[in-house]
Amino acid sequence: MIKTATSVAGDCMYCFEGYGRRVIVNDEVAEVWHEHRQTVVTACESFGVLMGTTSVDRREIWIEAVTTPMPRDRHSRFSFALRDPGHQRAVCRKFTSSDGRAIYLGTWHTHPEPVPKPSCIDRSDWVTCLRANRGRPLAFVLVGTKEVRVFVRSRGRFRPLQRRCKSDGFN
Amino acid sequence: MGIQTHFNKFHNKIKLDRKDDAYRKARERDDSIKTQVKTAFREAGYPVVDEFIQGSLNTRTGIVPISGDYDIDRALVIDDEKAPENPVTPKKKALDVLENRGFKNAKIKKPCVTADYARDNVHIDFVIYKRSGDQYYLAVGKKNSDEDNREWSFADPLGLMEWISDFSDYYDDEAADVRNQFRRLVRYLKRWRDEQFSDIVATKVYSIGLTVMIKEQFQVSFSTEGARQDLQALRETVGAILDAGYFTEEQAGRYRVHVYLPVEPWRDIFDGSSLDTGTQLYNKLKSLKQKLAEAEELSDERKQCEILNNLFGDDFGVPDPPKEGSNTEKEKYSSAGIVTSSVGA
Repeated sequence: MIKTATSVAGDCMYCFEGYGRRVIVNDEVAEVWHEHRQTVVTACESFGVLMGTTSVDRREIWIEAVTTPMPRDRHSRFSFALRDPGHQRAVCRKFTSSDGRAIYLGTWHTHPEPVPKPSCIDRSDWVTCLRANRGRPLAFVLVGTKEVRVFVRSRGRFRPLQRRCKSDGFN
Repeated sequence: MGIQTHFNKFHNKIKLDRKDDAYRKARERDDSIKTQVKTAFREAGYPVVDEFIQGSLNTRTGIVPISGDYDIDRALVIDDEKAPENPVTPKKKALDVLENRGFKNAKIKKPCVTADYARDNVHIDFVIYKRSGDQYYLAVGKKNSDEDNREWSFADPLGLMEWISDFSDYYDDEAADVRNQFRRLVRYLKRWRDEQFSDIVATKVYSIGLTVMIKEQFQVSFSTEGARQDLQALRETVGAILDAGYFTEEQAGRYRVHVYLPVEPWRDIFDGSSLDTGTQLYNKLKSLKQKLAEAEELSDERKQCEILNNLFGDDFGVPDPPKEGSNTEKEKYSSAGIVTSSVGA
């Protein structure tokens, strides 16, 4: 991929669009996801929270950093539980250092399937995340072995955004 | 590039034609089952004397369904003299054929017999008429309807399709352009309905109801140079629909919608429709008109497209922002956000 232009979030590898929303992911985050793909049979699910900034109208979000599993979290090949308070601490640090512009933007986790689909547990967990953060433009990321998919809540459902990348003409 | 270019692209994405590949498969399914129903009718003593496709594929107002389910309305006509007295008899015959072919969900509805090919996402309605001279009668009634609830009802299916396609009030050289703008508007509003209403309510905002309202209130719009102005045409047409008296306020803020067929049997298309459907349709049309007016006022094409994308869904594309757009001002928040103890699988 030819890096020809920079966005605020640095070189952006992924851009997802749809339902009036745009989610831009920076390279470092995309690399974390790539490294954590469950390509080995024995690999456990990986997960973490999304952090970044949004446009004033909250339609565009930039995922600029993510957390990864921490000691007090639990995970197996098919499930995880994010329990370590370190995730919240990471969010608060970002918030402070960005003068209130970088916030919690949702969660990500891996699935041991090529094109990941949200399970019932995923969807109900996402509803919980949204309820705890009313009015925030949260996104939820599933990292499959082949594809990364981003979901947003629109008109009562979680809907996948369309992926676009630079070679498709984005920036 | 003006906003019309985006409407043109949107229209190309959503329009469904009889010639389209997506539809061909549905058509093949339809042909095979139709042959069997015709055989069954002939053996029962009332051969099919005519058949046609009715609905949006005939009037060229069909859209690609977002659900992925393709609908076909297949009309079968039998001769009045040979038709059984009970209109439900041929419908039961059609149902037998479908059930013998393994359709578990085939059923007799009041105006038709329906069958789903779940595997191919094809949904076929068989609509049965008898014909005496030029007069058509629709077989109305459910499987166990008694005499009071079933009838051969006056109908004019061909007249309805002709009425929808008739633009003879316009001069010959402009009629084609006007008719095409009308067809585009119908497609826009159908896609808007599918995007803006829940699946259950969307099925109650009947396509034929929208089509008749648009035809009756159609406000054609071309620039003086003859360029299409679909945004303006749509906004004005929606405004005219709201003012035309289709909606009656039965309780404060609660509306019932009535739209009468422009041909026999002149019945209310929305007969039996709930206050909830009417109210939702009224309020959403009002909001649509307002958003279209907002879009019309804007000069920034991308912002116009964003509004239209919210109304019509992702088939209405939004162009990329210019490069300097990446310097967008960032929102400042009052708190960091709450990490819940998430689980996942």
